[in-house]
Amino acid sequence: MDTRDGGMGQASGEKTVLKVQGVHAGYGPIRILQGIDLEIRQGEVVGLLGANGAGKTTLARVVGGWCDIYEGTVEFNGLDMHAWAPYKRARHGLAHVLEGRHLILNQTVIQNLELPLMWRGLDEAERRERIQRIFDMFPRLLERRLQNTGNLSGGEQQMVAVGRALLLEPKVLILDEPSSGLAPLIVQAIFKKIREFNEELNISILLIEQNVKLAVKIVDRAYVLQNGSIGAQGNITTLLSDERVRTMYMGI
Amino acid sequence: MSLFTLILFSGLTMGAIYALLGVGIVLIRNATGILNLAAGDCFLIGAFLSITLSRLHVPLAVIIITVLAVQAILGYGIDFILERWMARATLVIKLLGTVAIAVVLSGLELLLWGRNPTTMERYIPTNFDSGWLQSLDPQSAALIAGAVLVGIALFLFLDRTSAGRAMRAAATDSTGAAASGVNVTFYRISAFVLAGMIAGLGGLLAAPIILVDFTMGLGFALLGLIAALIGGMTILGTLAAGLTLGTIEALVTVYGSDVFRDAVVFALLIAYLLAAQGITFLREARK
Amino acid sequence: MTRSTILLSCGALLLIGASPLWMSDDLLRFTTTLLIYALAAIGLDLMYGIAGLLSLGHAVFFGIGTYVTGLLLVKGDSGILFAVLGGVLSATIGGIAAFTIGAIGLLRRAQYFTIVTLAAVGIVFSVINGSAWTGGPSGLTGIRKGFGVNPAIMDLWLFYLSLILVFLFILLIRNFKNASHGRALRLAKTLEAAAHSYGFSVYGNRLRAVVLGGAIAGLAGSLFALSLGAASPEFAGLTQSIDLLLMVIIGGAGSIWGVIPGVLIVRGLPEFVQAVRDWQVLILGLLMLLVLIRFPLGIAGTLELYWKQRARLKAEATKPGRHGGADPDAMQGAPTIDHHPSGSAPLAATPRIQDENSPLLALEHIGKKFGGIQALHDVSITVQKGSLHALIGPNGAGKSTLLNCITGLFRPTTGTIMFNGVDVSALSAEARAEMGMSRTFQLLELAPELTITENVKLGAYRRQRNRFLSSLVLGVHSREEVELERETARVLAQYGLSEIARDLPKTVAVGLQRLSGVARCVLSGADLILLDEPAAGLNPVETAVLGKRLRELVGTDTTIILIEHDMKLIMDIADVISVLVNGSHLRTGGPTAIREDKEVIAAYLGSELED
Repeated sequence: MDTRDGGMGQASGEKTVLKVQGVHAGYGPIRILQGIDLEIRQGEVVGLLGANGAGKTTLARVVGGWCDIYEGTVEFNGLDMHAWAPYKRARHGLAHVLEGRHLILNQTVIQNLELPLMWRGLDEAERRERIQRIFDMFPRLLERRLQNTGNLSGGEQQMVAVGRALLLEPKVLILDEPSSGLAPLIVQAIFKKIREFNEELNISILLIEQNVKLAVKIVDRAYVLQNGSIGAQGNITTLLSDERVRTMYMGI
Repeated sequence: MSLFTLILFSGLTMGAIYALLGVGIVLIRNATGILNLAAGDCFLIGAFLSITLSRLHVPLAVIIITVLAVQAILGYGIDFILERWMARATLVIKLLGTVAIAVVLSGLELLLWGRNPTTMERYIPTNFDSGWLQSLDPQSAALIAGAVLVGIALFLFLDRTSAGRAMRAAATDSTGAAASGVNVTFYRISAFVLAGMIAGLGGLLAAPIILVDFTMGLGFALLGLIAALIGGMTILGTLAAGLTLGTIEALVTVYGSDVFRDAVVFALLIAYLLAAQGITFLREARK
Repeated sequence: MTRSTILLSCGALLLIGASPLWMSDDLLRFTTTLLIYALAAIGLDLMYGIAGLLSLGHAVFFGIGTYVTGLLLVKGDSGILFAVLGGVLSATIGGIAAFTIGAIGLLRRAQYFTIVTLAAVGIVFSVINGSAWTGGPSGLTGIRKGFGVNPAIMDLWLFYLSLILVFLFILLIRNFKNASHGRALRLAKTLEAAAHSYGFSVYGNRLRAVVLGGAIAGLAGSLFALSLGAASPEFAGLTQSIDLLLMVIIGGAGSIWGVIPGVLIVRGLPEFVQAVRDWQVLILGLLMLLVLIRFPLGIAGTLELYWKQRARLKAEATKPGRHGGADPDAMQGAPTIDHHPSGSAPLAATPRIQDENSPLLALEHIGKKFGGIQALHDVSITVQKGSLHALIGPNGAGKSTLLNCITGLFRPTTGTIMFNGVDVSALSAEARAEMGMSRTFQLLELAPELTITENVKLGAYRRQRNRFLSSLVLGVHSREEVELERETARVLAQYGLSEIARDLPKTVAVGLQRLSGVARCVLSGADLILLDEPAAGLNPVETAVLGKRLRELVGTDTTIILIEHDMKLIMDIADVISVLVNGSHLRTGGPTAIREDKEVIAAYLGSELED
């Protein structure tokens, strides 16, 4: 079975929300990504898989605006984001839940959730309403809303990070290793939620995950990175049963 | 009015200056990690500018606006140098950068205002009827009140308003804040601008009370730094620490020995540094 | 030192030494003070330029020096003997003051040292200014009275003495800079952990550098008092300190001889160009900014860089060689690595308490907690001598944490570590380095300001016997250093790094940087080498050669622990593989067994979730 173009380009008429073309990127003199082409269409959940060090996080950071591009373009809804600072991308609907979450640890849950609403010019009532929606989604956070996020458990912090991203009303949500450091039950809950966002809110999702079996549960299709370029791509079930993907992961 | 109260008052007056400088240092330190030793010269520029403008009989309101405007530009310029031109430098180099800026500013002061210490007329009239505070100098009272007001206002801003919290968020975790749509660059620059304006305000309020000359900049910056350190790099803590520092200085000068005043203050600093770090400072602590 | 450098220095010495022939008395005295300031600045350059410690209060030592000598001569007796005694005392007390400041200031991060120096200025200035017995604000006068020597002769003596001292100390400190302690101090500027891991005591050596710097400044102060005949509190003040700092920065931090152009600009310019007087502070400030922003190496440093580049270009023009990457042919054809390099005294034999069958390293029930997170949980692994033992596992499994526990950068919360039969769990990283451990780091580990050769030489620190003072006096010319130069060249050749030996890390490809890190471990002659992802960034050819080298290394009885993600490399070269998952030890076994182990495969590809 040819994994290479299974499932690609078949979705008819779907709008492309995120397009990465010919991107070479890295940190200073260290080149990590070599010629990446990637696309996310409206309403998809796309996985970015690959072994550690393959460049997944670098690619996420490129899209988020945290990393230099030597060559290539990143387009969001047709707009060239090349010169945009991360905060600007966030305001335009590209939400990034970063590795390490980066919550403001010395502020409360509510205060953290307020940050993405600040520049919107919403009044008190509207803000409270939107934050309440997040609490409806994650009831645990309601109990903890006045606690500093630094005191929350890993799973709760992840919920805040995701909630914060959702409050940007994103069109694309990038999730960087959302399962890392979390207990299986929590991971299960979060992944279920991710699928819900996608289905109910029609948010396109780019999911970076090392854990392939987990990714299977929710992604439609995936790209597998290897040594800075795309080794394989296509329908997720096809990828999983492909011996070559196993090779890419374990190098054997 | 007892001697003690007068001394206390005089101490608080100087302490107000340290507090204002310290608060500016806290803002910049929290936003960028840099200890801004140019703060003292920003303060002096504010003072010198006020003196010149008052000699030109410019109305007080205009002086205030001009000083604040100039200080805002100065703050922006300092951010530009440290965070754009020297963006990739280490914190030590940036600290050196603030020293260089301090030298440049003091050089400007020398050039524009000469070597001699100078001062200006009090603009808060002494016949201001203030009841039982009669024998206290209203100008100094204004300075003290100014410091307290600025300190409290700044604290409330940072703690109670969403813009202030956004500023703190940008300072605490600029990555996370940016990912939430907060314009972190704007808030970083704002920290510098605010710090500059606060220093300038201090200069404006203090100019009629003290004699200023171009060599005092680093010395003032140092005292502001001590206030910020002892205040734990928080706004209210620095406010309290600055006022206390000034008071202790005054008390030591009168009741202790005038000449060892500075020594006492600095010795206190070292004692605090040692104590506050706890007993686990024996080595670069292993985690 | 190159021949041209020697010629230039002698020429400069002679030129300046001939000054009394044509200078007026006043000018000569002024030049003497310039030399004295330069001497004081050398002390600061040692502290900041070499050890990276920013002192904003260097004038404290200088001022103390002036007063010690001044008081001795004014309150005591006069005469040459007392002058000499004054010099010695000034240097000593300057050193003691530096010791106090350093002991306190070095305890924490770099910024605290700066703050402590600022506090020191405040205290010392205040005390000197306020005490009656130091003459208060007006200071001391009449230091030169009663010498019984013609003042002009005395001036001449002081001139030559200062000149000789300046040149002498420039020589000594530059020598020191390029020898073992100087190198290690420069590494510690940015990579303290690495320095510890090579057996270098950062706190102790920095303290020594501070004391030396303070003593030199104290000596300079003594000369100053003799030259001027007076001492005044400003000499110990903040302004004076900033002036000295300006000299070092503008002249070129770390170059040492930069103090000469530095002092000429900071003190000479305003004197000679009178029109500049009111502008001088502004100009100096702008110059300092210019240096910080655009020319970080200062005048001397930028010149040195330029000369070095010119020399390289000339050398390359006459000798066309391969440039760039490691030369695979050279690497593959090179003889086996000589693991215990000859010529250096072998380290005092670590007593082998165990017999042939007991492991070199035994980790027993290691647990590590960070705050609330259990990074490692009950990990027990043994590593046999002479084996290549790989450590693998998915992201976040705890591999680096375990490595840090083994080498001593982290202290395990529970469990013990036995190395060579000795319980090392409580030992520091330096101590473990001395016992025979050496390691590379996953991220930056090469000091950015040292060449590849200098970086690699650092590995040998734990083997070298030179003390701090002999490093000062003999420096690069000591037998040890000369031998080390040869050894290092050999090892670099074996790893195909000779082409880039003189380059700075930032111009070198990442793969070669990693190889240099490995070469550094080899040079340490350690029994246990721990490598953290050495193949990251290497292309397949380079990886293969690295693998070959590591196998050869293991063949000489060195033990290697290797963290890697490149599975092919691991399967090719490892004797034993231990798998870590989520902080626990999953399995240890031979490559074939691990490769086919179902649980290991599942751990990498992820586990099923119960629905």
